[in-house]
Amino acid sequence: MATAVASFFLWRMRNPLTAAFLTLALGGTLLSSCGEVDDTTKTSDAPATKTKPAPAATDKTAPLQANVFLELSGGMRGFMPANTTATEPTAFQQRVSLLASRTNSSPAVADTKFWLSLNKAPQASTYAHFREIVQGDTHEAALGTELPTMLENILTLPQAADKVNVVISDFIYGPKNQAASALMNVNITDALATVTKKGLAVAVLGETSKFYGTYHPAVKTPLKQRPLKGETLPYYIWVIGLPAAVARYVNEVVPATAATTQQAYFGLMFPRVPYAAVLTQVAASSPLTPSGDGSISYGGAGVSTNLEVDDVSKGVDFTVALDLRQLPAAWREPAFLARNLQAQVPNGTVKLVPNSIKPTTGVPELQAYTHTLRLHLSNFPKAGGQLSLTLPAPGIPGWVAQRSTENDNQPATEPHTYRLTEIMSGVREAFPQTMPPVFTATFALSQ
Amino acid sequence: MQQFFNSLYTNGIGLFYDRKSPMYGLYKAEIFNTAGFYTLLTALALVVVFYYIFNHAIPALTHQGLYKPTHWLLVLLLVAGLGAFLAYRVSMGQGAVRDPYMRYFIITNTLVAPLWFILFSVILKWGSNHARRTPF
Repeated sequence: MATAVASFFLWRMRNPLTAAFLTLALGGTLLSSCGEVDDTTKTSDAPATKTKPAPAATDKTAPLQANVFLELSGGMRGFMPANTTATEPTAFQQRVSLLASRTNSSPAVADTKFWLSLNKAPQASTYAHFREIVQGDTHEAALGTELPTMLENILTLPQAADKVNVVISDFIYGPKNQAASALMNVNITDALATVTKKGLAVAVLGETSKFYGTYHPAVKTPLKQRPLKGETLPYYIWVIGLPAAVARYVNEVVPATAATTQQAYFGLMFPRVPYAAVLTQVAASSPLTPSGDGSISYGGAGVSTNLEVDDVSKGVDFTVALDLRQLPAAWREPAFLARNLQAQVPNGTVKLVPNSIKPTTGVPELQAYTHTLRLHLSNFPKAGGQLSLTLPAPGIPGWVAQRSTENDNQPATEPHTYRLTEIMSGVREAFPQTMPPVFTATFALSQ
Repeated sequence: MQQFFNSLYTNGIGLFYDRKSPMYGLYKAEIFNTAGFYTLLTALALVVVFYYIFNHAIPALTHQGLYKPTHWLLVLLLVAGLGAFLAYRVSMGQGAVRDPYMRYFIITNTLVAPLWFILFSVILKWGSNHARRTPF
């Protein structure tokens, strides 16, 4: 356009000399200004659209130390039958052997010790021996230990609190002193005193497996024990350790959980979940760009958590990208997040757009993030404020009640564990009444 | 200065377009200031060229008699064109995307540039030998 105007101007000149001088003068102005524009372009190292989102802050923490405990009681033998070439190994054998193998060889784990939880203190073992037992060599099996005692013994081992403690057991708690069954939850809480004191986290993976052998139910009537031939029984893998270590172990070491695996986590916290508002990173035609009749923008030139909004009362929709890679699988489920995530603005109105939580697959600009969700802001105080997106610590998940039973004497088609609700509320009570949120993402908004 | 340019352009664009771009932060942090400054300098430079080079300092040019309001108006149009060009170049150079907000920024700067030109003309025309009374 400038050239057109300039040539028009020159065309009006009566004299070539004039034209020449004018061209010189104008050209100089034009060149100098444009030249400097180009300079700014080069020196501005981070134009907003090209800014890579801050890399996911997965700081490489020191490798983990792991203790793997296998309860080797008479009641566990049935999960580990000696197979022949004609029989199929049980799900327990497959999963536990893979778990042990991965724990033993994973680069995330520096040092693994294998232990057998017999009726007294855990007995140190080796990986080879552990593998043989899972394979079916269970002749060492002793009388079962009571669940609280077993947990206590595990947690009183030296440096147990600094390690990842993996406990594989059926978690059948049938107190010998039947009066103790009145306080099952308290007994569990007491056994987890180390967890409470040291601020550890507990992950519970509920699995099922076929069972070939003698089943020892907690409720001893009508039968004290039952021979089973391939009925499905539940067993559990507990992971106890520092929150970051447990999260890392569950994500990096534990073999991918099957759809049937039930999960519960207590005490996990992620202080640094990477997140960003998606405003300029994606093309304007993308459904992830801001919409609504109000407007939203970054407070400065680059991607930041300082946002500026305008005409909020007309509605502002925008996308937030989150990197939830550190979270356990169950907490990354969009349905779970949709139920639990809370968006808040003090003195304002913000809500999560229904069905907006999605994985970021197929958005190359947002590769550093795993999920996107959309917020609708419709009211915002003039003075500005903070928008926070919080995942409150979930309580005891619903599957626990479904798996819990008052009488486990007869295995049902639905796997049941004796008073699992009590056991899990005992675990829950080992943590403070109000737990800090799993993560919080905050944006500073101004108008 | 940045504050001045920010409010000048934010309000100026607000006259035409009541929404803001997701890039507004970038406009405020970089584009308004840079483009505003260049526009101001360009207007000033052309005022100097018109009043002090063509109609003052160089006899060969002065004798062309380019002091009429028509000539002044043509330079004003040139300034307006350069205003649009600068707004576009600076925005793109800073990585803004072509959205309606950029369009209205270009329009605003096309109007702002001649305003600077008129302002500087009124201030500086008195010193010129031949164009002292241009455009009035």
